[in-house]
Amino acid sequence: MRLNRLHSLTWNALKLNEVVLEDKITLNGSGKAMVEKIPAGVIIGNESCSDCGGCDLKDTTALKSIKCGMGEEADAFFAKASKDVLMVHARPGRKVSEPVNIRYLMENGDSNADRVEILAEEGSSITVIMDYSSSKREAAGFFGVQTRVKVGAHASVHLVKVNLLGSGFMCLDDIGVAVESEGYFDITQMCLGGKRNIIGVAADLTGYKAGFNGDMGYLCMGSQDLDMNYHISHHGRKSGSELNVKGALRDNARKNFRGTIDLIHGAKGAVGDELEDVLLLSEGVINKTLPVILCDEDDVEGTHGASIGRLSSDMLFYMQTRGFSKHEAELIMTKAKLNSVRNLIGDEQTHGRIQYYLEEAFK
Amino acid sequence: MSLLEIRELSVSVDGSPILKNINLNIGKGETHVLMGPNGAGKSTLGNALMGNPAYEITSGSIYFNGLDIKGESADKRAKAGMFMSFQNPLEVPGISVSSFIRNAIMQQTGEKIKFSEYRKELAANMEILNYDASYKDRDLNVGFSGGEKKKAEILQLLMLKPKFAILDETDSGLDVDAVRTVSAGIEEYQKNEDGALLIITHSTKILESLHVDFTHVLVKGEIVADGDASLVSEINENGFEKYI
Repeated sequence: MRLNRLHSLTWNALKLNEVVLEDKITLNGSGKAMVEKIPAGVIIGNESCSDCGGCDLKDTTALKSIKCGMGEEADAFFAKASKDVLMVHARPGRKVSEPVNIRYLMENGDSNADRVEILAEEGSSITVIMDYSSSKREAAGFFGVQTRVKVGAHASVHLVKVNLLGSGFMCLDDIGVAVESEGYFDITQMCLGGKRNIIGVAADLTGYKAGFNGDMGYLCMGSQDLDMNYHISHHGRKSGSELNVKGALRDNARKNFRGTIDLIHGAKGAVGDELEDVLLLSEGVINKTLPVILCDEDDVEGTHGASIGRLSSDMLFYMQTRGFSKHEAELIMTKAKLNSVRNLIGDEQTHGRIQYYLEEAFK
Repeated sequence: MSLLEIRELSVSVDGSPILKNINLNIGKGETHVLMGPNGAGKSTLGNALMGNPAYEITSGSIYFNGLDIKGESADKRAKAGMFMSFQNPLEVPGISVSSFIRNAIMQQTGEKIKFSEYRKELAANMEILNYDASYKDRDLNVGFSGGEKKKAEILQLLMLKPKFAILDETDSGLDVDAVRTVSAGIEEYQKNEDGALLIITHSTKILESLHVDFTHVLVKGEIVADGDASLVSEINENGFEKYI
């Protein structure tokens, strides 16, 4: 399966144009979604029951055409692997303060793929927390989820994704978003668990002043492998996007990051910004970063920046004067980077789970 | 025996000699002031004492509590009881003031501390520094004004209780009120009878309310004059001209 293919290809030698997944994925259907909370103003159901008339789930046909970050081969995989779709629907004008918590507890040997669709209708706001975790640190298996989000005019969605899977898991996390006029999509991701993680995010800012904000925090240790592809397309005038990706690599971990800001003809006044901050903690890590800004409009602004390297000598000295050794300083700065993303998740329970995972990881 | 003994210390930065044959003894509970014009090498001495690897000790020795610490890393010096307040404190995103200090105490003592007692002590010290309580939960120095950053340094001084602290230009860039507040914090540290200080400054504002035992004047990398607190007043009146 070819995933995370760049919209605008670059030199083959970099081996960043796409990621090829050669592993055969066998699904056994174990490891189902558990919806922990259904706040007032939100409807949750499965696509298979939406025509029964027993509930008033909105027809979400429009969501099907939203492109996801991993590409067409992933679409085919998820369509085949997951017959049903879990649907989350915020009614027009409803500001839902409590988050919807969707948990996947994936134990050793579990192998499942799921599809989720989130529809925030005009003027609504909703937070959805999707947490994939394993109770045993060494659990192995497969987990995939494709999430499509439609943010209506003047609506806002905060999507939180937390990966705390066992160290033998492969995880595919495919996300597609469409944002209408003055709608706002905010995604906070923490990728800590799993052995091989592939993340694809595509966002279409279709409306006037449509907004996207992404914060991604990761920690790759041992032989963990993380491949990320973000593609943010600015169609709407004065649409805005900001993407902050930060994390740390240790031991023999590998990480690819592709971040494309696509300023499409007609998107006058659009502004896109992406920033990557990577802390390299070991000699054996492999870090690849490819920021891309595509521009087909004059009156736009696209910027990218990266800070990649070891702890600065000034910071290290400052920490050491407070009694932290080099190793301890690196650990605390790694935690600090991840905490700065974690703090954006407004849910105590999820905070606690991340905290516990990190404490264990650094033992 | 002095708490800190500096013997014939020479220091280079990027191959350029900055300090030449510095000799200085600082005893327990003593407050020393190191004054001098800009570029004299004052901060170089502070950094060299604290073990900043960018500052190369080309000759001489540093003894702290009777032990030669010249080859020790900064964290070992901190664990031995040394501290430095930075002229330009660094921002540490992702770690709150409270969490940073608590972790630092645990690193230095190797012991866990009771959270309730810690919070109480932190609140008391923040009050001395006229620090809004909300700052304890903010990321260390991130978005802080110059004055708030310096207060955060002095808060760490009060919480970490080092045996010896170097205060590098703690008053630089502060307005009159902020200098007064920071001075109050340093005064509080001086109440610990064993705590010794080396206050590096080129102004005298911060010294007005502090007890000073010895003053040293550093010019072009050499100590050119030593005296008691009256030397501060003299420099305040006449400047460094006669030493240059």
